[in-house]
Amino acid sequence: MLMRPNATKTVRTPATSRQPKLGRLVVLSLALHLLIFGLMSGVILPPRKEPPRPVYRVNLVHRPVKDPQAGRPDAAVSRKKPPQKPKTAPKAAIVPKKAPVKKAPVKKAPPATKKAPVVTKKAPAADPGPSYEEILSRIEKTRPKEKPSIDATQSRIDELRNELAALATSELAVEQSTISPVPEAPAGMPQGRGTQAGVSEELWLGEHLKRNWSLSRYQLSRLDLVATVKVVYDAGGNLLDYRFLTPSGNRLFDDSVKKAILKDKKLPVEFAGRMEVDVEFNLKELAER
Amino acid sequence: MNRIGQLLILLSLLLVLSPAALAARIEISSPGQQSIPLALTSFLPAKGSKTMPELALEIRQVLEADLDLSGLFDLIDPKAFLADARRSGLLSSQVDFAEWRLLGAEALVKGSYRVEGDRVQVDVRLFDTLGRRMLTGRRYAGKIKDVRRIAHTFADQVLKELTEESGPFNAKIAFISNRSGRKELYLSDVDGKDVVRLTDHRSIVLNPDFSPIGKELIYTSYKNGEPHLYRKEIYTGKEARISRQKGLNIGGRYRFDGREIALSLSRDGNSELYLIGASGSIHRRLTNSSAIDVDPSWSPDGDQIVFVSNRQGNPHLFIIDTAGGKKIRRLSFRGTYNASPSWSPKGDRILFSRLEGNRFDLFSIRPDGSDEQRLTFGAGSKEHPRWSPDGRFVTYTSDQDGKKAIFVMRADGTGNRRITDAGVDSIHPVWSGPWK
Repeated sequence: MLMRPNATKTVRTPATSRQPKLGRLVVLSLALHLLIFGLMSGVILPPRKEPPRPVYRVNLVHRPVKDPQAGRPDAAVSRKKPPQKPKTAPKAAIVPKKAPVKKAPVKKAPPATKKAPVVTKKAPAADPGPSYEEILSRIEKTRPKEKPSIDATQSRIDELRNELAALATSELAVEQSTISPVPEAPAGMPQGRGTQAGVSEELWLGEHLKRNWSLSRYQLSRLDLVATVKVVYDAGGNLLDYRFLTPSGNRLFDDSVKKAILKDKKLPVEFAGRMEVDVEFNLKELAER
Repeated sequence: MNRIGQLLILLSLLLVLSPAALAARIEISSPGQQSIPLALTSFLPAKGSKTMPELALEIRQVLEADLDLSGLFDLIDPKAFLADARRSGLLSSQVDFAEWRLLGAEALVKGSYRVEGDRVQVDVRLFDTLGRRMLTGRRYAGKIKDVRRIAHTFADQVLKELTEESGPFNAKIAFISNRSGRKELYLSDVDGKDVVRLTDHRSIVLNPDFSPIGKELIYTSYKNGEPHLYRKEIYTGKEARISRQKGLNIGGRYRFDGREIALSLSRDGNSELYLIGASGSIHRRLTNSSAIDVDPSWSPDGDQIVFVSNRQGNPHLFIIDTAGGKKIRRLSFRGTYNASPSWSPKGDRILFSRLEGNRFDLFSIRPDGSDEQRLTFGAGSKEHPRWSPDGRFVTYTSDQDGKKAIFVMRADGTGNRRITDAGVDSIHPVWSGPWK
């Protein structure tokens, strides 16, 4: 007992003597919780509404593009054309022009008050009589129709064929290049000048040149060829200059590189400034296969 | 270091590391388009010529098949062609290159023909649509029946222009077929057309090989009851028996200069490799072992021969030096049965067939034994591979469609196609040199 006198003795220090009782602590805690709840729920303070943050889905499969919002350089065209709707409105106003041409002789006294809101505000002005163009068109109608020559018909057929083929080609290209696994997803940065995820002007240019570069492995007897070319574009994407820093020495290879550069003397994008890049063309990927 | 010094170092570092000071560099490690978009138009009659649509179609079809087999091109669908395809002008100034570029064509083949009696004149041009210039053009004159050959010849010219090496399409393929009921020697174009029978031995003919200097073939025939070696001049039809040693006289292969023939003789009871002269006289005995040594194939320089031997157990490939000490080294170590080797005309690879499971497939290997590659897969056995004279294509036998037939493919195993009828057996193909 003498050896451990403090073991059973309660010592009251100044700190323990100032401790509140348990009940007070519980009440205080509840009050604080209620206060926080009030603040968060908007009972005391008005709720703070944060604007919804845009969600960007990044398609890692796609090649990097310089201006993502504008789409890839070869797929800038959207298949949906909602902005065209307002443009069609004026056409609708033009359509009734044909109707008066035919019906004008029949109608003796067109009720301007009824048709004014439907046609155009110019409808009452048509009352004085047929216009000069209308008279001309009537005269033209009275003339005997000449048969179009065979040459003219053939050339028209050619034109239509050309248009059709061009349309089919462009539609096919759009279809092949715009298919995305994530429909409607904005790819890249909203400003179109993103610096994340490898989106850069140099990378874009590299991808563009690669796409333009056509060369078959069957054209070459060796795959260790390398050529380095300095290419210079202005801010508008115009090719200013190119020169071989180190040609490969193989005529076919160097020609194919030259063609890849010259295929687009005007790039479909603009750069932040003058672009001067050393491009190394090699066949490492082919050699690895 | 004082503050000015530190500032200078900082400034120089900033200068060096600034983006403006770093020369931007891009690496492009493969072409985006690994084939050349090519537009091949229908051939049009020249002004004043008789119109023969079937002739134009035949020229176009032959050209298309050859260019497709080359693997160089991505042929554009003719349905997309525009007005220029119907214009007969063959001058660069008469071609609407912008129209072809609209279709994505980088190369364009246009042509015309003029028929007079049984003769035909064919003009063909290859254009570079990006450079707006003619790359190559030819005028061929011949009989109407020669149009296939004309088309093959221009296909070779296209390959020469775009690869700096002529193609192997204006050539022949000799093979053995039993279409007459017996195994006889036949000759056809490389697309299997214009088949001509060369022998009428009414026995068994095997293992043909073209002479490198002239239109001659050697082959083994049982015409006289024994497997002897024969030589035949194709145009004169003259045939001579050049080796009639006792036992087997098989697997004859010409050296690059045509002065010697390597073959297997079993005159001493066991099959050994020998070198004989073009007239049949024995020059040298190459091998001397108790094993079976067969299927010799020369290296292009004539200094080495690859052959098949079971001297170390199973049939494997071995290479023997022909120049000096007859040193022999083993080439293949995998598989249990390797056969019918064929040394590339460029010398860089050796084709052979290997038993895999219960069927043969084709492989290639470097002469030093490295970089073995399997070329064929799928159903059927593939055997007897032989190179085209330019080393870019291979012809072989396959029974993947039932009967054994002759196939051709690119040297990397792609683009394979059957060229002989499926209803009869055809084996042992060999590709000739340029057929002039």
